[in-house]
Amino acid sequence: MKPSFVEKVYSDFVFYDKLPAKVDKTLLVGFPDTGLVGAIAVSYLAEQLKPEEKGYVDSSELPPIIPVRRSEPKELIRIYERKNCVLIVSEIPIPPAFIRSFSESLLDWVEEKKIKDVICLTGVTEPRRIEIETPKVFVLSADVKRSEELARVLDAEVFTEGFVTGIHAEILRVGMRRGMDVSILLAQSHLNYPDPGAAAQLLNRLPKLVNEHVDVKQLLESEEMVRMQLRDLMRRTSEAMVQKSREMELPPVYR
Amino acid sequence: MRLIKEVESRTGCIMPLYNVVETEDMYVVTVDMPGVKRDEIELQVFENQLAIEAPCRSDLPSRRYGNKYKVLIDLPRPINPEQVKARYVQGVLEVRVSKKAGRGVRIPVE
Repeated sequence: MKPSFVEKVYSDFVFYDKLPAKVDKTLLVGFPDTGLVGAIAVSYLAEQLKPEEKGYVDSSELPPIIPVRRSEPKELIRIYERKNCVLIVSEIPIPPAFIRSFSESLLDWVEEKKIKDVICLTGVTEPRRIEIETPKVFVLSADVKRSEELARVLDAEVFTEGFVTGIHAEILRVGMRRGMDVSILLAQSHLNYPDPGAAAQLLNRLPKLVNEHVDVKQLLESEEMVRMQLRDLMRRTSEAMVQKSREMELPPVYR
Repeated sequence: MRLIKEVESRTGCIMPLYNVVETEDMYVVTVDMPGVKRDEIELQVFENQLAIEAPCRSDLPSRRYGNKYKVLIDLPRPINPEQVKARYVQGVLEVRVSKKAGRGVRIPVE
């Protein structure tokens, strides 16, 4: 990319961006994990809102893959900016061994850029998902009062008991230790199958969160195609999730 | 992953994502098969294997994969083919199969 990018090196990951020194917006992230819910949500958001691409994240630990979108080669982890928010879209799951250093790097960058708050979008495994037409959304913040406030505003429930694992859990933990405003929105979803229906529930909450409206009709209409297209990413993500769960001696579920 | 791609290109069929959950007395197998008509799903149950085939809507898959799902799912232990329940909801096939009762012999410990 052009040399006008500001390079900032944080441990294993390098953030290249053209964002101003003080961003003061909400950062929305959704890395591939449970049901690819967060990844589907932020990708759809980027597709619909057409935000400006403002940078990318690089690391020698990322695989040598270049995604191509409408004939244009892209970075694997991209940073976008909109009027009210910043998005990070990742085409791949963060390798389990680097989740910790990535989370530290991400929040170093968030502090440096004076980003207002961080909202992670993801799924929470619901074994009876096929019986649920409208998945519930749960909120978990670094601060309980913030969880309650967000749950009220977003018509969601506070996540009260269980486990949250993976990249978003680690981002929350790092944020909690640093006293940062970090929250996770979790929609009930399939564990191992791409779940656009769950992603749509998160997207429906966005107007109240960052004052950005996206119509999820197109996502729901093309749900079957999305599920078909994302099978390979889901397989790679499931392998990474199982690997991480084994390391933690937890069953391969996110709750 | 490479193995799956090889199988798909060899058979010209889509290998769907599937998941097997084991409980005390059964296996709950789910298979993600969007775009299928319920009455076109062929499910066969063997001693410790499920064979599933179904055509999917022709506009869904790319030419690379063909437009038929096909998967053989091995189960860790023998099952009871007479006690199988299957349903297809929201593009997911769920098959519940009972495990065959074990033939263990109780030995008194002296």
